[in-house]
Amino acid sequence: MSNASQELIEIDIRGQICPSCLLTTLREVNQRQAELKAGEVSLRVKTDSRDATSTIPAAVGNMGYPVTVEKREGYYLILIDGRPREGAAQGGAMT
Amino acid sequence: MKDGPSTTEHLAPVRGRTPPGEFDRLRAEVEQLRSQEKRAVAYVRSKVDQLLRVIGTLPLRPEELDDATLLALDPIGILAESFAQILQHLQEVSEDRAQARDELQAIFDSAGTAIVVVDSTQRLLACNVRARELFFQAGGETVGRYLPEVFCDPSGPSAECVYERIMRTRSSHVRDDFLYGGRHFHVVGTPVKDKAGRVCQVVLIYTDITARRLAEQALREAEARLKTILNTVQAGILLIDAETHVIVDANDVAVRMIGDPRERLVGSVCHKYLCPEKEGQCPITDGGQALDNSKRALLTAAGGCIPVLKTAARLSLNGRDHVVESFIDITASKQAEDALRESEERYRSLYGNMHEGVALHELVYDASGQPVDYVVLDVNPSYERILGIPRTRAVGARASALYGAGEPPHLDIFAEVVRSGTPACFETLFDPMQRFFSISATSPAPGQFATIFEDITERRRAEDEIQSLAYMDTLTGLPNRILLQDRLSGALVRAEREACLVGILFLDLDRFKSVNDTLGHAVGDLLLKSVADRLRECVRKSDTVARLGGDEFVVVLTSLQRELDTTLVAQEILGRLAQPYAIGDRDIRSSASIGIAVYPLDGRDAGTLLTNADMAMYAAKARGRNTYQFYTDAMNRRALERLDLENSLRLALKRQEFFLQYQPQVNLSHSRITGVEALLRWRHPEQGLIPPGRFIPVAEETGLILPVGEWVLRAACVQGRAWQDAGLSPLRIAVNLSGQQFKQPGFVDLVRRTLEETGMSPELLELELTESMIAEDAGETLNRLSALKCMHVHLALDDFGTGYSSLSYLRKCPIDRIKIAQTFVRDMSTDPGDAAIVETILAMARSLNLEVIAEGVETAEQFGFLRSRQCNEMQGYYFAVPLLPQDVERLLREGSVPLAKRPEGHV
Repeated sequence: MSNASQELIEIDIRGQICPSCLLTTLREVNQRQAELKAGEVSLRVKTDSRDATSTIPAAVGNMGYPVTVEKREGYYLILIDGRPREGAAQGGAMT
Repeated sequence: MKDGPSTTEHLAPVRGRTPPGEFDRLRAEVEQLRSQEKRAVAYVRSKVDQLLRVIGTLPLRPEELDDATLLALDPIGILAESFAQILQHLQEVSEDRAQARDELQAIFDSAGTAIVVVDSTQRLLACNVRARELFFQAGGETVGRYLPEVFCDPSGPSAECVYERIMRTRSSHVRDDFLYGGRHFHVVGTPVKDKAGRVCQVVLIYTDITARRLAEQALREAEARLKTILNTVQAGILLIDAETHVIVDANDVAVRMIGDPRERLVGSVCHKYLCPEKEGQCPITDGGQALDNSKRALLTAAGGCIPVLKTAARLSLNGRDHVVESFIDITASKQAEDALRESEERYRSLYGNMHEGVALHELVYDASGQPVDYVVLDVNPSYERILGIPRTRAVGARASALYGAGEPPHLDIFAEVVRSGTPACFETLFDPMQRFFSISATSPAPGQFATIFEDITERRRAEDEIQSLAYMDTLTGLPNRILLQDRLSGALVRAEREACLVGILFLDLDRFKSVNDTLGHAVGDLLLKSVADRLRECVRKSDTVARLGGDEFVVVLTSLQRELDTTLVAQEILGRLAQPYAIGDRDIRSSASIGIAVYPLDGRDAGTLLTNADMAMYAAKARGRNTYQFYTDAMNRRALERLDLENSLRLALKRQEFFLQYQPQVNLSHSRITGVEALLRWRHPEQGLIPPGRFIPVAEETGLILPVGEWVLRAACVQGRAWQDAGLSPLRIAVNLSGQQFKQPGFVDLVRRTLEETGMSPELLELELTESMIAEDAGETLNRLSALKCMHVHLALDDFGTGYSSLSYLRKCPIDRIKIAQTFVRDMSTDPGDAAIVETILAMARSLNLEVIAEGVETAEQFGFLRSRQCNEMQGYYFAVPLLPQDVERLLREGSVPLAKRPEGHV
């Protein structure tokens, strides 16, 4: 869903362990919630905490954001994507 | 809390200046504050951990986040904010789901397929609109219905149930063809499983494939039909790839005609078999023609060459250019064509040189399709020569104009030849030329006929001559013995067919020999010629007079009804031949003797009859000449008696030998005599009473019935009037009529006059007719009956049931009464058939509102039978025999019903 006009915000929390990474990520999500929901930004979280790869997607997923986790060299890249509401409605019909 | 960490820093600079008591108080206060802070931090950490647990992650470890950072980070705030977002998301999801469910329902209901959802007990959970339309037309609640009750037809074929299969295999199942309510369905069943993996619901989707099925079937049939046509059509068909000229397909006829198996044909280049001489020069692909229709040669596998008529056309199949070539074997037609041409030439030369005239004509029809004329199409030279009509004038001319007279000669014969196709031959006199032609006509083509004719005038004349020599007596011109045999045989055949009689009169002149001897043969011959002329005048045209030779003649009288009719002719002949003959200057007298034989009484073949007539003639001669004699004695006796009776009958009226008797008619409802039937009696002066059965037929044959009938009518009326005058109770008098009497002109007037002159009341006169009298000439009969009816005369139908009893004339004729024939009454108490007839007549008369009287009632049984069936009028010996007027009068005065033999308990 990402498109060219989207702004990419990167948070590097390597070295932090959970749940601190979670809190850091949540704070970022909270602060950016309007932009995220408008689809204007997406967050790229770099973390080296394995726990965070499950806690962050679970929490952010519950908040309604699509989350993907990619394994990178020495860290994980968690991508939190903002998307428009109507996309969510269609997705709902599928589940 | 923000101020917490700064508290201790803030306190440090004041150490040393503070008094000890104050310091301790402050220290205690610091301790207290520290412990408060610790509790606060612990509280914050525990709440954060609690929230983290809820959100699904590990508790916060102290080394991970020191207290100061903890407070600065504000995790509770973060988490609270996240929870707010989670809640918001949950709400959004819930809204989405509600919308999704509505959408699903809409899709469910608008689906073209019928969808049914059942639970694990086969109870219906849901179904969409289409399913309701298809399966629940009766309406009502569908949820909760038991599925097998809806679908499973116990009388239908027991295919495995989709539902049961799904429950058994726990996976989807498809059934291609499910029949319900005369429609075909494609069924997909899908199980819905619960968390434990058990099938809790089954979704069944029914797609109506009836139309598809029918279309498929129609397609299959069309394909089969096309294939059949392709292989039955009497033409070879090859399908050829237009680019490569390779045969792609061939039908059975092509395979058969070429003689190579289909496998070898398909794949071969078409030039190998068709249009082989111009390889590569295909009129379609090379010549650019869209259609080719030409005569070609077909090379067979055996090396033969068949002339064919080939049609090739270009067509596109599956996007590829093809040529379809069809061809028929024209060997036969080519041969026929050649043969026809040859035959035509042969016949033309034949007709041209023929001695007989030949003409070809075509019929001309009017608008209604009736032949009215014919036109000459072609003639041969002999036609011109024989008829003297040049070809140029004949061809194209109408027969009506060409052959004169305005009428096309023999149109009906020629039209029949054309219609039936059967040739006709006939001879005819062609009036304009006064010549005879023999014509034979055949129909060579529809609407046409050819005539071959020959002038046979000369031949005909010669034949006539020969014929007359062979069959005619040259002296008198009468048929000779040979022709007589022929004519007599013909007459006998006709007589047998028509069930009538033939009279053969064998005639010999008396004393002819002495005429010849004394006056010479020349006078004798002249006498014979005169006799022949007179004989011809005595008979009808249909009769034959022949001369056997010498003075012997035979007369054949055909189609006679009565034997005694021969006597009339015999008497006539004797009378005529006895007249004097003026020959030369003298009068010659002669007479003849006649012997009579009658077919079939005196023989059944010509030879026997002639012999017997000859013998009778000798008997006549022996009896004294100038007389006639029958072959059988019985006939002679009858002839004599009949002559006698006829003579007596002529005198009987004059001598007043007739009288009437009256038989009473009894009406049981009134228990008295209401009528009488007048019966004619004849008392012969020598022979006494003569039965009516003997003299009535003679009276009818001689026509004497008319004066006799008139006398009866008058006598009965006179008697009736006398009884009226005598003051007796009114008595109906029934008078029998004969057919001749009823039909005679002026009969109605005769009745009217008789009534007037005698003064008899018309309503007391009843005329009895028979069925045959009123059955013929219905219109005239009705007029007469109506006229009589207008005079108030009663009309009765005598002998009812023995003739043509038609209900329709019974209804039409103004009949008052029917008389049940005596024959039925006689046997009705023993013969169930007759009893049934009597009952039927009674019932019919009742329904037609006619009166009925039964005649010939003689016994108590008959009386009882009729009485029990409400027949109220009777006549017969049981009551009274025919009586003289004075006896009738006596009975009437007694006023009771007479009974000849009065049985106990009746009347």
